[in-house]
Amino acid sequence: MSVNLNTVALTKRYGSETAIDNLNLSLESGQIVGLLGPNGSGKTTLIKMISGLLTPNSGEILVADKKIGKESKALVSYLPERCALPDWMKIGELVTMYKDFFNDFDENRAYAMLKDLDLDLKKTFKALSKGNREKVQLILCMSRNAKIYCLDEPIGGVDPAARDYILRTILQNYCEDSTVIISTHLIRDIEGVIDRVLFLKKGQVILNTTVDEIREEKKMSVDALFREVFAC
Amino acid sequence: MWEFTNDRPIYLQLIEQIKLRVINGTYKPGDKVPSVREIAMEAGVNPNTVQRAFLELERSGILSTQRTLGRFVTDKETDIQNNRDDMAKEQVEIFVGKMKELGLSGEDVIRLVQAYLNEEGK
Amino acid sequence: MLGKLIKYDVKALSRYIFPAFILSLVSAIFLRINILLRNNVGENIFTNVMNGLSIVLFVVSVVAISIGAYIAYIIYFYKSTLGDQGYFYMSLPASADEYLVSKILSGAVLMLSAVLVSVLSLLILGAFNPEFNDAFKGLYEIWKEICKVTPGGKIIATLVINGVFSLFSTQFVVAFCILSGQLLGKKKILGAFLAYLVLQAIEGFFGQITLLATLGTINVDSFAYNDVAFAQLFTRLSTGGLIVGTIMMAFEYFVARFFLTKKLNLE
Repeated sequence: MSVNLNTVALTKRYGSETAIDNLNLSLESGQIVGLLGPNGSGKTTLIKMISGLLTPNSGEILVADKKIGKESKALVSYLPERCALPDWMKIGELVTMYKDFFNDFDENRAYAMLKDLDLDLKKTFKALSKGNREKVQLILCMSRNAKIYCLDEPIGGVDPAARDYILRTILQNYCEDSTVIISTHLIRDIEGVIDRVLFLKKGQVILNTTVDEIREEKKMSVDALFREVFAC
Repeated sequence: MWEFTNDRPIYLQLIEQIKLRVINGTYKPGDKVPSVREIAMEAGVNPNTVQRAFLELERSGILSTQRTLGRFVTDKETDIQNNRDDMAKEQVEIFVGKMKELGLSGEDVIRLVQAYLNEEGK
Repeated sequence: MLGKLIKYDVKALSRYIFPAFILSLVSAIFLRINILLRNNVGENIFTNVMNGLSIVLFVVSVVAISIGAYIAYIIYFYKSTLGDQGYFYMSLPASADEYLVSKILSGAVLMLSAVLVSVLSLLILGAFNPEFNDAFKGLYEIWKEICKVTPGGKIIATLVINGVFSLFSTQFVVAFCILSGQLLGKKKILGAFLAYLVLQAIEGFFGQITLLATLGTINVDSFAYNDVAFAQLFTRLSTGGLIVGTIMMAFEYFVARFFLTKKLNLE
């Protein structure tokens, strides 16, 4: 068990709005963490800061004791909500590109998963359906042996069967040395898969506990608790 | 197939369902149990949850770990019997409780059960 | 890592500019054929129309390459840094310097290949062509005149250095403008334009100072009617321009780097 993520007094402002407010968080390895909160609570902002796409206004983030930079990015595997890959490339070329850029990338794993989905490596990314594009991005992301996986809304916008596939892929590539952070709205779907739950409200963590604790002590599902806590 | 509800910890539900598989013979005494990862994938749940369930099942004697060989179902018939009796007793409690809610007495319950069994030829 | 970044940057950039390259070469061949046709078959409506068409095509391709290279680079820089693809490129395990240097070098490759294709197109058009041979002879005469006044080597060196400079200078400007344009939050492209205006103002200001300083070093008495002094002025202005240019490039690089490391704000 090692601490993969550490934030100290992390703050991020957009103009007059505070997206992340003095956040102190520590996440250990071997966990799948659900980052839950309403729109605008700061989920994506936090994930982007961990991945190095945003710089905080103040405070610190450490990934496996490393500051955000070239070294930390080699340890973080980021799956954005949008399609970030050059869509003119063929699937096979994308695998090669990942292999080129990331030392921890396991191309055999990627090829195996792509084969399972019957995806032709010669097809261009552009030509795929939305669902398949998301799956390819996920496969590339999870074929790395990273310390932290940041998955931003990995199951939104796909059909239930694809959701099952995505969750199974996450479980399949789970590793005891890494931490998986999943940010999502679809709580009911991922409750069974996550260990730990973080409720994020207006840039602060208002709840940091395990799924089992919620179910044992409050005798309700995480989904039900969420609705209670964030009732409008 | 594994089925879970969301209002109880999954590891408890896993424990019940694995016990059931042992009692009804799906996992026979002495059989090797699938690994944590295999069950996690099959059931679609977090490996840590499966691990927790396994630990509890080992503690209660249903499963045992043999260092390099893996996890096995106990071959002690008595342990399995006891667990079956425990689970059966739980179900009886729930059933009788429900019957009492309907306003039926203990004798009514026995009569109804016997009639049902005769009908179905069981 | 730097090599890999360059490889993929060049790959992506070449996709943008490749059609323009093909157009340039094809239209040069087409025009050449049409000129030959006109010379051998004689003038008539058909050859005139074809001639006109091929000239238009050639001019379009020249414009396409020269402007296209710049536009392609700007669009690619923006897309891969602040656009959707930025989500991928900015999460790569590369330092800010590696990222910027890769963009600069791949841009230089783009500019250089644009120059080479243009030269090739001109050669296709002009090689063994009597009309062009006359033009070349004329240019050679002018060159001999210039060499009487200043060492030809010096002129060539100045031109080469300026040429190399221009292969790189655009990239620095683009990096500066796009990255500092982030200051305007949602209106990033507007920010980039404003940054460009600021840059022009700074450059203009220093340009004026350099011009005055350079003029100051010329001995005014010997200036009038003197070819040598004229050549001296040329090379000194050139040098002054290069010095200002280098300082501007360094300034642009450090500002771009600052925004990349401290102020990156991918929406």
